[in-house]
Amino acid sequence: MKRLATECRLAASPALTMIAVLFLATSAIAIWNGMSWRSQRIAAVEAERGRGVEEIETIRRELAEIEAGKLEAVNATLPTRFLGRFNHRAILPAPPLSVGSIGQADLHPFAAHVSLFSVKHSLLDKHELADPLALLAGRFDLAFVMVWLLPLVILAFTFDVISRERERGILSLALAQSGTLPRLLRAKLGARALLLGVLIAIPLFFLLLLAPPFNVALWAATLVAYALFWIALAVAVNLWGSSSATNATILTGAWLLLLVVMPAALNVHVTRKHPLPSRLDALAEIRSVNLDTAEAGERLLGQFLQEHPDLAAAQGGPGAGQYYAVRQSQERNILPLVTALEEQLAAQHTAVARYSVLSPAIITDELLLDIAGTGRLRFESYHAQLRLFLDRWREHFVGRAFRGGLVTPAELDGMPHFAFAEEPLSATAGRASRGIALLLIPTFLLVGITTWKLRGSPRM
Amino acid sequence: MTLVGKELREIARDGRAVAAAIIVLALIIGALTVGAGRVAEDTRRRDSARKADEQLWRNQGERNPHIAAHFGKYAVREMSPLALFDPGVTTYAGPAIWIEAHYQNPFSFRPADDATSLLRFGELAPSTLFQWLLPLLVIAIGFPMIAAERERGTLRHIASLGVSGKRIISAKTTALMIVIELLILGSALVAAIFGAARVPRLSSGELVRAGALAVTYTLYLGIFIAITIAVSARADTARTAVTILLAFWIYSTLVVPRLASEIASRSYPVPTSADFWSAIRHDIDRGMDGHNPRNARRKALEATMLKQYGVSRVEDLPINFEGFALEEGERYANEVFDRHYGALFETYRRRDLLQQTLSLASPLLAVRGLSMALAGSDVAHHHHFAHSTEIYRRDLQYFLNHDMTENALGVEFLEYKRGQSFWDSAPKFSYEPSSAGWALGRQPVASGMLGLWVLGAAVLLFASPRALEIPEKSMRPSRRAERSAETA
Repeated sequence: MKRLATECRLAASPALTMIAVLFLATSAIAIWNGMSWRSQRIAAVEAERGRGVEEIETIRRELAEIEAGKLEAVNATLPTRFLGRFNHRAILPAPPLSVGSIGQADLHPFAAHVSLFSVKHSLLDKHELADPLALLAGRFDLAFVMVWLLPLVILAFTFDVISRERERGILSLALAQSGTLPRLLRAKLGARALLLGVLIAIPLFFLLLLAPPFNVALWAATLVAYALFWIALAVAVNLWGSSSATNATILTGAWLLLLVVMPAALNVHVTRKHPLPSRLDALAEIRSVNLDTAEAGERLLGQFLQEHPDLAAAQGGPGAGQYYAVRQSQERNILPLVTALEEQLAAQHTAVARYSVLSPAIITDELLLDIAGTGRLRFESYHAQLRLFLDRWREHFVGRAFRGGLVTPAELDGMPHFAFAEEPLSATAGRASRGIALLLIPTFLLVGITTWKLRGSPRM
Repeated sequence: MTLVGKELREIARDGRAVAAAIIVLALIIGALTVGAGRVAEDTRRRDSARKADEQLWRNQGERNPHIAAHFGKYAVREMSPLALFDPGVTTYAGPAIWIEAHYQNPFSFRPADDATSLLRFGELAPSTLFQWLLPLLVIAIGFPMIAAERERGTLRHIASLGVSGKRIISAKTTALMIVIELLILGSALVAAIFGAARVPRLSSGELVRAGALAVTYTLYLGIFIAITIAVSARADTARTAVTILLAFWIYSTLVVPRLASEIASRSYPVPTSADFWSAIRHDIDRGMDGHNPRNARRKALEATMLKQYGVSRVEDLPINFEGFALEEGERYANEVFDRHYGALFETYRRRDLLQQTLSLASPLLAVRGLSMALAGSDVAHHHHFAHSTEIYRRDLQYFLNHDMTENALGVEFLEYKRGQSFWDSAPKFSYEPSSAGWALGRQPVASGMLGLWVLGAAVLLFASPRALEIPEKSMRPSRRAERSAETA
């Protein structure tokens, strides 16, 4: 214990203290930024919900006025008159741990307008107006700090854990004090790991105040596994017996390889191996399918009626029924194209999952996003739930579309409401433990190499 | 010159430096190959989509012009060949805009929507390597150039031969510059060889842009070279030099760009898509002042037309009122779009300008903006295209609606139909790409900031010989070495 305290004091040089303070300050800014992003998102979600509530209230009020003879149906606002314009706003809420990781949430839409005339493949077509430059730059959140900057801090703490003593010619002195190299290494690493643990623990402690403890605990486990990998790597490089400068170069190179080169190269590989059918090619195909079918005229007529509800009112109910039928047929026609695209995308995701073993940074990033609920899986689940919800919505309103006439208050009372169902924690935990196990594989390998190396030269 | 030769020989003898340079060169070549492949593939897809869409438009058969307006067209942006070097925001902006009746649409089909999460780590583009990796290579080769000589005592030895500090600094700077320029030239050569086969020949405007890119990156890397040599000249040990330089690299390439982006987003927030469209819908349905609903506008228009032509029934008008009402509807909606898109684009522009200003904190920010602008792949170039598309959309809508106003007399609205010769006679979309001057004109602050960085780095470099010429300092063992000796 005393030895550990001494090593801690020795490790906490002014330069490293400075780095630690900077790291904590950076983490604080990142958490603050995540908090403010989440509160903005919550406000946006509330605004969208409010518009939905307002729309239903308007329809109810107008229906009552029409009933009372105070308003002519032709003068009512669009949704009252024309069912196709009646949207349900199906919202994906911002998860609590998005304060730690904004992840893909700035790219993905968080609200879909589900109406009788929606088709399943374009429920999420209207993407956010996010500034492309901001998307390119990426977010400054805690996940970024941990995935990108934490390894650099770890390397600063450990790149010369042995080489420094050796270069200063005091390795034998230190060995004389502690006995064997493994023992010296344990003491030095113990001290450094303790300091690094504190650096990880402080930001996570703040997250505990903002997010569910279980998810934060999974984050903590992931980050510890990630940190252990980098420490193990630094020790292995140190034991190879080069100078501190060479160690620094090798470790910086490893950081670049795992964080910059590997993900980008993997991205190229995956997109080449499983190329997506171009949306642009698919588009021409979709449009020509629609033109070629005999339904095209009707479809466009329907579209026209949607834009010109006054004419639709003149046509009466069947217009809406006909348009509904056209949309269904369109959905069926386009299904093979959309399925092909989604299958290729799924193949890409599988390939990424397989190759992510090559970079602990990729695994960690995916895990942090997944646990926070700002990654791909929660969004895919949202998309799947939206499609199911559309079926329920259609079931409820399709009769009205074909019967014609105005929607009734009773139909409004009984209409389905979308509520995103979060997956059970056990599912998240299951994926997280698999990911953490994957993270530990290279660490164990490195520890194995280190132990073997140490056994070869017990006193160096 | 012999001094420069000595420095070059030393770099060549340093296994670490040679290995790092070879790896970087291989990566740049790899990225260029990938980039050329991507631009070629994208160009093919975009060309074929454009042609297919044009065919669809021509062969849509006999139908009402306004139904054709709803069917619409797609405007597909051409890839700039220079995007093989810097794809900029291409992945996040989308290649095409749907031109349809009543709506000004944003870009569709963002590739980022169909990408795996790996994308957010960054793309393997040559520009990324130039912005990130080459500065790191400069640091890796340059950090020990003076500091290590000081540690070994060889600096004093060289000084004793009568070589001035100025010459030492200039020789080391020149040697480092030669190595980096060789790498750039090497990769440019490879780009020319690979690119020539797969990407269309560069126009004269694009050649000017390529030249400006070369100057920009030379200045950018020059900044890192000057700072590296200056720090190495002042540091007691190579270890201190590399620590300071790496900290600077991390700060300027990793921390500042993301932080600047957050500051810009926070200072100039954009509405959510839902807010944006609901505001547009509100203005169109209820009037921009909130007191002029669509129905009322239509009734007022009807009254005006009846009065103007001195008739009492719409059917008696010498024009088709539905067509005219559509024309007027478009005109009103255009004002609404101008207001909302105008505000949105202005927000993007201000964000961009703020980030340019913040490049005072990191040369990477300045270079990133300039590089994308010169490669024709930044937000401004996308807006330039969107603007042309919108002008065309309005022309096309006018052409289609006005035809009905003038010619659809005495027939049911939907019974009025037109065929292929009419679709062929519709205005064609042609896009005039912006000039290099226009691109640079959008980056005034970034250019200024890059200039300031060059100036600052040069001042730091030119003041470096003084750090060497103090004889005591070069002879005295470094403070750190003294401390080590004490501990030992």
